[in-house]
Order: sequence, then structure tokens, then C-alpha cells
Amino acid sequence: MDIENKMKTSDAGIQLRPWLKLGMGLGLIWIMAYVVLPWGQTLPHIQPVMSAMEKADINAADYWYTQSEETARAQMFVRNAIRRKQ
Amino acid sequence: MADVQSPDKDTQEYVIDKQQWEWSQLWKKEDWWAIWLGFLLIVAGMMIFLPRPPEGMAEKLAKAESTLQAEDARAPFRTVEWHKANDAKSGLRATNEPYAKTIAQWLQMPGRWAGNPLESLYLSEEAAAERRAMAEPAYKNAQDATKEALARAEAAQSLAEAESFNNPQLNEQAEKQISEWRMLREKERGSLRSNATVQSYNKIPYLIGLFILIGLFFTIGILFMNIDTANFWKGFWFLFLIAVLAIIIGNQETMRKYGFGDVLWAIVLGMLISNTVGTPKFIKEALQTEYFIKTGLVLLGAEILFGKIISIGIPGVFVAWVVTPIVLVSTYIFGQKVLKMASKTLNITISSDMSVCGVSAAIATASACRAKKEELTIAVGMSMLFTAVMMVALPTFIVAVGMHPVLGGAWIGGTIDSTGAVVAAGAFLGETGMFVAATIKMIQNIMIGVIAFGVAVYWCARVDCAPGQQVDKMEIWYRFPKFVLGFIGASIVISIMYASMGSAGDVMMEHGFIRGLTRHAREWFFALAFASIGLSSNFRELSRHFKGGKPVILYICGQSLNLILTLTMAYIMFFLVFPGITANL
Repeated sequence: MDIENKMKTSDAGIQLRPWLKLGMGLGLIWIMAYVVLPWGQTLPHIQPVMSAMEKADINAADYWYTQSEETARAQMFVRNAIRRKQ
Repeated sequence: MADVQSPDKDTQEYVIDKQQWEWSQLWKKEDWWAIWLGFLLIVAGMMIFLPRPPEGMAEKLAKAESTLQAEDARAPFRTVEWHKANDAKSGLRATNEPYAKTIAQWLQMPGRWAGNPLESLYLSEEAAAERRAMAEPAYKNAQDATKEALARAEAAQSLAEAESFNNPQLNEQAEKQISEWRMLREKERGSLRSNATVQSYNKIPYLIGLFILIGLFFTIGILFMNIDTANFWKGFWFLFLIAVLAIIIGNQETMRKYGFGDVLWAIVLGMLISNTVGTPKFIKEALQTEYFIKTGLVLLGAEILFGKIISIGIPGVFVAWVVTPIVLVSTYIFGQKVLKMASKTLNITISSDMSVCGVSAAIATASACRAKKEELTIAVGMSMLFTAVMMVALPTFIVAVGMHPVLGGAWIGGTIDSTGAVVAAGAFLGETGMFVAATIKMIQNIMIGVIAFGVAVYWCARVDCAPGQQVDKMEIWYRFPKFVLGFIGASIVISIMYASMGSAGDVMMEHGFIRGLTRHAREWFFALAFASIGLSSNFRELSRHFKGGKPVILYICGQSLNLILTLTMAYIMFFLVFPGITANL
């Protein structure tokens, strides 16, 4: 009886293990988002850059120029600026 | 991703494609469906946007243009009127029209959030009002400060004008005041304004609608491609859900700041599931990675506008279009000859994402050379990690050594991988630095069209064959990844149209159907593709590619070369050969 119970418990443990791993993975993402990365932002060399980014409301995750509003303004400005009397 | 393996020196096994052309490929292969669907969306976008320009567009553009010219001739510096005309011109966009806003509402992704993830999907009127109330005083102060700075700038400019702009001291004073006004205006436009003008929203019904629309859109091809449509739909909801969750995580404030966007989280979430509880069987038919990614790439082709190459003149062409291919080829050769990387596809994908533009370059190159999913995952992950480091380190160094913002901006634009990180790093140098950095990066983005095409041809003709094997033209055609034709075709057609429309091209094309429709669709397709990659990848396969740390060594060595060459070229171009351009920026 004991052996049977132990086997059932170990089966349940094996079945639970993947879900525990998934939970741990999600937990790591949570720790990264709420503990590690916010702490990193307070470091003296990182803080000024992050602060400038926050004020300018920039999304550093934009991976292509059409996702960024700033590229459009930059292009217009640069194009109009460099054609001035050279 | 890959059906065709590259020659593997370790095993000396060569998988040589013996393909033949069949007309049925036109409706049976996802390469062709990517082209048909991509162009369907582009044409639909044109039909919606092009006949509906903003009211008085031509007159407004002509007025802004004549003011810019008149002000250029009037004063030796950029006057208040010059800036106002420039703002008016760049503010004229088809995407501001009501119909475009409706389209954007249907295609929008979950929004940004800080502490509560539900805020990316739903914001009540009370919560929005509370946020507005908190931000309004600071926003009002910023607006007042901008107005006062404008008045000071106008007064200083009038004094300079009274001396016919011949007094250098008064000119300098006016320029300084104008620069201060612009700086405060920038500050007012940033997070202060977005918080003070936030409106309530509920994105859930739109997301449900979008799930059905995207599902139906891809079903058109699925019906012809020997894929079970019912099974596709059974799994598609799950895939869409993972993509939505990835976008939500990527839009968390901290993640946005570090540049860890939805693409990374789609892979991470997918891999977490597939390597722990396992990818559910019912979604297998929905994991159409290549179909999603290639359709997205055809749409990306429409965003590659060759006219933009000359945006910053010849110096920009040299920094972005001469250094980049040199670094790309050198890094690839270094990977093969020195590091002796077993996988050529991983070698070229990393070389491309490091030297060109990160994620987008990795996607385009990996698809062009048929790299494995795990190889694309490695390239994207490394690019994002190194970008986060460089985004902080490079501008800090530039400011610490007192480098000129134009030189610093060009250096940042030519070396940091992703556009958002380039803009963020450039912003630390001020407006000029940010504008130069963003423009250089944009020019470099355009290069991905040429590189993807070149890689596709090189792989068909040289890599995917046994040593010494001669490949004739027809064989190249059989092997060539056909979606690249759509990618390049879209780029050429849209570039010609864009160039022929003059300033209206910016209003109706880039800020019309591209930023208003195809770009949103492309972002969704890539999110689905990366969720699909994550769900079908495993850690063991991934770690196999990391043996000896070769991908990391390749990236670091390539990026070091990139940093040296870009800085040297930027200095030569902006300070020795074309100092006039630098003076005008």
C-alpha cells in the first residue's frame, strides 16, 4: 500500500515538474522586470541615459526606422538643414 | 526555417537541392503566398490612403517649402520661422486623418504599462483622468516654459535682424535662444505630453477582431498549401495569445527602456513552454513560421525606400553604405577562417545583424540563407543584449570625452543595432546628436534590401553546393528563395513611387499606408513568427551552437571592427571632407 502511494506521489511529482519549471521561468521574468533591471537603472553610469530616454519618451525596443517617430523628424530636419548654403 | 542544409565541414555532408520549376509552386509554396499576400496588403493600403490626402496638402507643403528657402537665404542660422516651417512640414501626415486613425485603432498592439499589465489592454476613464490630473501641472509648466523660451528666441532674433544679421555676437545669442526653445519644446513633447493627454481605452475587442482578421488573411494561402485549415485555426488562437503576451511584456516600461521588445519575449515565452510543459500538439499546424516571417519581410521591403540613402548627403552614404558591407564581409570571413564556425548560416546571420541593423537584418538574412530557427534566435538574442549594453556605454563615453554631437551621433547610428536604441543613445547627446544618429541608422536600414538579395544569390550559387560544383543560372533560379523577389520588388516599386511624389511621398506613403497600415501588419506577423519559432525550438539545440562561445566572440570582434571603422569614416567625412555639412547640422 505504502509503495503504491509512494509511486502515485512520485508520478504526480514527475507530472508537476514541467509546470514548476514553467513557473520558475515566469518567476525569473518577473524578477528581471521588477528587481534586476530597475536596480540596474539606478547605477550611476546607466541612470543618466535612462533618464534622458524617459524624458524624451523613447522606446528603445523599436527595431526598425518606421516604428520610431524620431527618425521621421530627424530625417526632415537633417534634409532641410544640409541643403542650406554650403 | 531551413529545409536545405549548408555544407557542414565536420560531416562533409552536402545536401544538394535538385529542384525543378513547377507552375503550381505559385499557389502551393509559402514563398509565393508571402508575395501575393504582401502585395495584396500594399495595394489595399495604396487604395485606401493615396486618394485621401490631408486637406490642402499641396498648398501647405509649398508654403512650408518657400518659407524654408526664404529663411535659408535671410539669415546665417536657422530662424524661428525656419523651425516652424520645418515642424509644419513634418507634421503633415496622412496618418493624422480620421480614416487612418480608425485603421490604427484596429491594428494597434497592447500599450505600455508600468506596474499593472492589464493597463496595456484596458484603461478606465477614472484611471485616465487620474493620470492626466497628475501630469497636467508639470505639462502646463513645460508649455509655459516653452512659450517663454519662444518669446526670448524671437526677441533675440529681432535684435540680430535689426543689424541685418551682420553682428556675430547677436547672431550667436539668437542661435542660443532658439536652441534653448527647441530643447524645451522637445521636453514638452515627450513623456509629459503623453501622460497629460492620455485617454481611456479598451483594446480587447479590437484584439479579438484582429485575431480573426489576421487568421482569415493567412487562411487564404493555407487553403492552397496543403495545410489543414481547421487544425490551423485550432492552434492559431494559442499562437496569437502568446504573441499578445509577448507584446505586453515587451511594452513594460523597464523592458522598453532596455530595448527588450516583443520579438525577444515571443521567443522566450515560446521556448519556456516548449522546453517545460511542451508545445501542445493542437497548435502544430499553426506554427507556420516561414509563412508569417516571409509575408512580414515582403511588407518590410515596402519600407525600404532607396531615396532615403541621400538624406544626410555623401558623408551618410560613406558611414552607412561603405563601412557596413566591409564590416559584414570581414566578420563573415573572420568567422569562417579564424573561428572556423561550423554553420555558415549562423555566421552570416550574426555578421549581418551586428553590422547592419539588428533584429530586422537578422530576420532578412536568416530567411535569405535559410538559417535554422535556433540560429535566428541566437542572433536576435545576442543583438538585443549587446544593444542594451552599447546603448548606455557609447553615449556615456561620447559625452565623457566631449566628442562633437555630429561625430558622436554618426558613430552611434552606424554601430548600435536597433533604431530605438540608436535614438535613445543619440538623445543623450542632445537634439543634433539624436537627429544625426537616427538618420544614419535609417540609411543603414535601407541597406538590408541589398544585403538580403546578395546573401540569397551567394548562398544559391556558392554555399548550397559541393566544392567545385558549377551552378548554372536555372539552378540558381530553382534554389533562390522566391519571397526575396517580393521583398526587393516591393522596395523598388515603392521607392520609385516615393521618389516621384516629392514631398508628398513622405505625407502619403511613408506617413500614409506604410506607417499607417503595412508597418502595423508587419509587426504582428513578426510577433507571430517569433512566437512560432520559440514554440518549436529547444534549449539543447540552442546550446549546441554556443560551443566554444564562438557566436559571442564573433559578435564582439565584429563590433570592435565596426566601432573603429565607423568612427574613422565619420571623422573623415564629417570633419575633413565635408565640414560644411557638419556646420549646417
